[in-house]
Amino acid sequence: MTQNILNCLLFSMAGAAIIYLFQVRRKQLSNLKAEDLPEMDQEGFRELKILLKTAYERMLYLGILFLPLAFSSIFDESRVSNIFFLILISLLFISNIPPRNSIIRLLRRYGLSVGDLRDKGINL
Amino acid sequence: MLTTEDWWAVWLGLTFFGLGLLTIAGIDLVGWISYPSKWVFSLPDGAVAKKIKTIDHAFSALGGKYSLTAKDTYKALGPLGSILVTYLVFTVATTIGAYFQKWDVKRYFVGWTIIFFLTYGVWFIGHHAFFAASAVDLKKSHFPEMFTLSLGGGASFILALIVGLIIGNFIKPLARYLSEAAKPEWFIKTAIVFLGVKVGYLPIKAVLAGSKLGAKGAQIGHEMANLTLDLFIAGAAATVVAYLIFWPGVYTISRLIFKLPRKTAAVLGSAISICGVSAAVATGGAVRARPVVSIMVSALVVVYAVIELVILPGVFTHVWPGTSDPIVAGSAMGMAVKTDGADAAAGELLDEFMRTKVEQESGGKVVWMSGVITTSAVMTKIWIDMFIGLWAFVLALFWVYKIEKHEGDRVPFSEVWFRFPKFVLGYFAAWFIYLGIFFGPGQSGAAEGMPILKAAKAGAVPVEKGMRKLFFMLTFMSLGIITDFKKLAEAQFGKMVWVYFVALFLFIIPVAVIIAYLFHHGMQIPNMAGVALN
Repeated sequence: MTQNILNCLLFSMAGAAIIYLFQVRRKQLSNLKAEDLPEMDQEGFRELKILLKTAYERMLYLGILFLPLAFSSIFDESRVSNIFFLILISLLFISNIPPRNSIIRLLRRYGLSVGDLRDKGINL
Repeated sequence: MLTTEDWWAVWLGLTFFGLGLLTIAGIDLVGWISYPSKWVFSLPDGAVAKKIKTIDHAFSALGGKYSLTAKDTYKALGPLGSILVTYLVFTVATTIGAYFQKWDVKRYFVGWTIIFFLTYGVWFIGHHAFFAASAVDLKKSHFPEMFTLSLGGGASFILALIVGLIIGNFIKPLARYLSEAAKPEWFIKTAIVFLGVKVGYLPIKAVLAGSKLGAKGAQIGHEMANLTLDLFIAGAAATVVAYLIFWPGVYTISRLIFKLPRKTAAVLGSAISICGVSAAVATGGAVRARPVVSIMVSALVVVYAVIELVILPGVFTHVWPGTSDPIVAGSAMGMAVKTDGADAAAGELLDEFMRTKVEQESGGKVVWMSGVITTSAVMTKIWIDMFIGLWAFVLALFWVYKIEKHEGDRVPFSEVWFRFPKFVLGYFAAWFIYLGIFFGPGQSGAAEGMPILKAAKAGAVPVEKGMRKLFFMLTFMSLGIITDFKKLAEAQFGKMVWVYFVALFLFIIPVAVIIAYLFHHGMQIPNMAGVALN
């Protein structure tokens, strides 16, 4: 039982941390203006914002999924639901790779790098 | 490998795909395929035959436009000549398939002939400007403002379905006779192999179409190549989640609310939540349900798929998720519609509806390449199809070792391969080979690779455009012919009909959109406005 409670706490904290990270990044993104990236045209900037929003949203879903995982890990008979949530979390993690790749490709197209984006306060 | 519909879809699809590839060596053997244009009886004053042509040009051989080596030969075929050659080639090809699949060849030949010419007749009517032309088409052809239904190619699909349903439900002796040649699953699986050509050809098309724009064209080509790979990953992830949520959900609804027996609930669970007929049959075998259960459920699957096909493209386009999330809508379609035929057809309809709507609303400033939304629907569906065998295997293990616990029962691994949808192999082969041409000899659209890409285009277009759409049309017509709405009314179906209705419309479809949103939201179709599209 102690092990279950520890797992529950661990998963809850992981979920809360990811959700907090999402909030911070969304706030940073809302402050990003087209003028901050003069190398990009309007279309590129719009695409970048959509891709960043997508990547952050998937991160949020991932964080939220840790909460039911934490809840189900309290009970001894919940192995199936634990596996289900872990699979879901893994898949969301994998599916968050394509938008991040797209962001890197988009930045390269405009002669920018992830480091340049970080300098503007935006983290991938 | 010579007696199943699945393998014959591969042989048929790959034969014409292979013939198409010969254009790279300068030999064009596929340009004869007859393809319709939007038409009117006569052009109004001041109009030009650009997007809309006159009735005598309603059909033409695609090679007359795209061939690099035999343009004049294919042009000389004319409308009737190209239809006749198309008929002859596909009659020979499909009759060989019918022979090896041990069907009644004589009945198949007569049935196929009737279905083929009915299909072309409907295709012709469906391309009349009143049904098909959009405001943008009218503008580009300098037509005066007039009312049209703006359904694009979707009009022909709907008409084919309606004509098929009329035959299937009101002229039953004819429908019974035609059933030997009305094979929607075979036609659609072949069309899906052709769709593999389309998916692989998308970046080539984008690069060639955009070559006039210099760097922009190459960029669109790369975006398209990346998009198809993203769809591949997202489709796989969405499918796994759909399996894990849909099946237990439908099983629980069947058991707790409708009190159905365990085995019937399992078969229904697979049919409604996974992949219709194939899944129902596979699960029925795996859990050893009475054969009649699988057959009854399969009939329901077909009827509901037709209902979904009529309703969902419009709902997804105009209500939810809408044109702001076209890839989400396409993927949700792949998860919601339960037969390959109806799904690909619904995806095609959705593609037509969404592209027409977005082009109209933006006044031509946003133009999406055709086939991308269909691809998102089919990609998800193909993943679902690929897992059927695995799922049947898991269920078989679960039933044998947990539910029924038969002493000494063993489930062979060959079950997975046996249930694996083989046409998927043809789809992937066609896709990856064209993708290989793009990245390999085509040098990703660099100037040195352009001649190869142009030659590849001459062979790809007749297959991915002409043959694919012809087989979609044949699917719609055949689906209508074999669909009997009376089956829904039969008393013993009562409970299952309701389970299906409740599970599909209140659970599967909304959840499918949510899952699709989770994994596909944010994916953008590159804007081709300003790039000459063919």
